[in-house]
Amino acid sequence: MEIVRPEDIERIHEASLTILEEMGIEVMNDAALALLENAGAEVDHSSGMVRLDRGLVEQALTSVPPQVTLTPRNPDHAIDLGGTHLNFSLVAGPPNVHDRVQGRRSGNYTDYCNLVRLAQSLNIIHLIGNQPTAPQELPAATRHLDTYWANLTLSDRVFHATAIGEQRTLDAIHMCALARGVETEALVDSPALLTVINVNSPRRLDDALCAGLMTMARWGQPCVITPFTLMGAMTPVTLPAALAQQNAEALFGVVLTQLVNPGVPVVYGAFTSNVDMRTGAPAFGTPENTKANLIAGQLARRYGLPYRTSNANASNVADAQAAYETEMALWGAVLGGAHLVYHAAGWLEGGLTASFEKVILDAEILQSMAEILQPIEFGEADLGLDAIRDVEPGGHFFGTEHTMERFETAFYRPLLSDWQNYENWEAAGSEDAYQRATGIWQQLLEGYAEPPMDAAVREALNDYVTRRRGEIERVGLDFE
Amino acid sequence: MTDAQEDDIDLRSLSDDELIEQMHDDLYDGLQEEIVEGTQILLERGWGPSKVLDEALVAGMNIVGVDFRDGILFVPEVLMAANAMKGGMEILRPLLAETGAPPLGKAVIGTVKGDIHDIGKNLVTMMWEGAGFEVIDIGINKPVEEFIEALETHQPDILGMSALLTTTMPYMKVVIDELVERGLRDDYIVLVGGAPLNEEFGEAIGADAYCRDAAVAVETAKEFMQKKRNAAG
Ligand code: B1M
Repeated sequence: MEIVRPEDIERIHEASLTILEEMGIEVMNDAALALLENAGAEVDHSSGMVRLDRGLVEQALTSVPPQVTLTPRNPDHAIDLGGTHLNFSLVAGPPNVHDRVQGRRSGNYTDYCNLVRLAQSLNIIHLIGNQPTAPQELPAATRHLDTYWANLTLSDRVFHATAIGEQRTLDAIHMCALARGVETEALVDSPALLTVINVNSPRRLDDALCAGLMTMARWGQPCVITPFTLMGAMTPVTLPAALAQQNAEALFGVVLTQLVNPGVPVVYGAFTSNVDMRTGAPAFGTPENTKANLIAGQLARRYGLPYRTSNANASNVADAQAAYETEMALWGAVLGGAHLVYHAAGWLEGGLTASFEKVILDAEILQSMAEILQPIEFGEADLGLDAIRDVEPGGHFFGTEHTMERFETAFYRPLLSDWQNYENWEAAGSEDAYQRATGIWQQLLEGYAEPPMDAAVREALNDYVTRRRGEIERVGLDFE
Repeated sequence: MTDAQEDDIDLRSLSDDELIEQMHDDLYDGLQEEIVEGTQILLERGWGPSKVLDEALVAGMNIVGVDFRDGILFVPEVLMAANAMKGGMEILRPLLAETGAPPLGKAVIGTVKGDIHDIGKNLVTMMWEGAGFEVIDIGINKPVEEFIEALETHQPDILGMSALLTTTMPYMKVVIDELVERGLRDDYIVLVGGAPLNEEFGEAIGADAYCRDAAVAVETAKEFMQKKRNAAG
């Protein structure tokens, strides 16, 4: 869906180039500054400010691939970013978790593993984003090893490298190679994982994430360059300004990936919403957020880049607000032509909490969305003239041959919705969707089976984790 | 009222009571120049700096605080009000020091190393300034050395730290431990905040208090300053 005219997309594009040429982006990483300077960017070393002329941007845009395939250890779960593909990720980043049984608590490794198990059990969740919750009881410097281990052993889906610095990123790449049973070099031409690089809007790229970006690009893995901008705080309050700034920041990241490794896949990320101007708190699933999701898709297509956006809400519980804000954001993403929707399942409290019930609620929404997107192609049989002829006025279709052949799969079968009448629903315990969701995630966890892994691969992974944990405990990490 | 009409008000023609009331309005409207002028006029009329502070500025900002809490005022309006307050405070601060009146308080605040989140920290700075505190904001991604240096240079009452990442929260303890190591811990009121923190965490790392939002940060800072004054007095 295109809600902005092509000529207005060009005006946003031009404004972005002006931002890059005249105002610049501050880069907090020396290696990136050197690379940009060598490529001809104007670099002020005292402030870290980098100004890019449009030639550099256009040059970079000639080498970006329009689509990338990511292959995890189970090739059946490979995902394509680009074209007509749409992928949904598990919620990422929350420091807390919540479920109806245990309430709200700090993120921990047990919950982390259960969230990964849930993602593995739901076909509609195609990948695991950044940590679905932070296992806070584990030491921060080695936590990434434990979370990669869980991602790789409890699931066989694509996951997200924690790109805070070079070392955490490299650990993810090496472990993915081990899990696929190939040398790390083999991943360069057959990428396995992705990461998100947030630009610190306005106009700043931080040191650790720069290092992560450059490592991913060097090893042929895609970065999702995402200016996560909250209008009012991190951009001006007007949508065109926010989009121009966001677009400039995304293009800057794209240029950097192409300078590190021309032709490396990269994803255009956009996550623009607004703050509550009365408190400064972030709001999501707002009309502004929905419009931004739509227009950023137009921009991504303008550049021929795969497009990532998000599915978020600001509710504190998995209630009606959580559901309708989620639907708003998601429609923006889907109609905007997103290839990758981050935080698609489980996000609450503006990203501060991962909710087990919300994972189930979202799975229902996502499955329905996927159903809507099935192409409508029909033959004579689907047109069903014979079935209509067979039934006299006032009759019914339950018993027709046409129905008999199709009834089991004709309609989307909900995971969560309850379609009983009131009395039966009451007799069954009067549970609303929120309450029913608890039973569903519990059942999924009970029925969960670990995806098989070759014993030698498991051992190699385990050895890697043990060795790296020892090293980090002895000498530390590049960004602690 | 339009700007033109407002410009017309001659503050000097107002009685003390009228002027105080006008200053409350001007704070509410974030008019820094007017607040500076009003402050000067009251001083010229022989008011003591403490009286100006309490009756004109603090009382005015209390109204702003309540309307912010109740969702009537927007962040940009509070920012303007805080700037106006800051203007008045710059005049009063040296005078207050001369009279030996206990200072409202001075704070150093920053986001810890590895972390660049600063929207919340900036709001806290704004609200503290609005409450009359002198605030030195040292910025984002700050290592312990820079916190210590800022404390030594500015000799504040309060050290504020912000962190939004679970990977950087523990760094607040690094700063506090360093203060303990140097025997400086008790010289400062240490307040911490950021969305992933909670009270237990604040306690565990040895902070004086965790502040869940900017308004609480103001209340908490005031409480601790009161305690400090009581202890000193
Ligand atoms: C006395 O001292 C005091 C007292 C009170 C204090 C205080 C200090 N500090 C705060 N308070 C208190 O008062 C304030 C006012 O009422 C309040 O401040 P808050 O900061 O809580 O509230 C603000 C008014 C509004 N809130 C915010 O500004 C934070 C909002 C969220 C969405 C957020 C934002 C905006 C950003 N982010 Co970031 N970000 C998230 C946040 C999720 C969330 N909902 O909190 C969080 C914190 N981020 C996260 C992540 C993962 C990241 N972020 C990153 C980057 C960014 C942006 C640059 C895009 C942007 C920050 C821009 C900026 N200039 O600050 C990256 C890290 C960068 C770095 N090195 O720090 C990156 C790693 C993402 C990436 N892969 O690039 C997650 C945390 C991960 C974890 N478990 O640790 C996260 C929960 C979102 C998520 N679900 O992914 C109180 O907490």
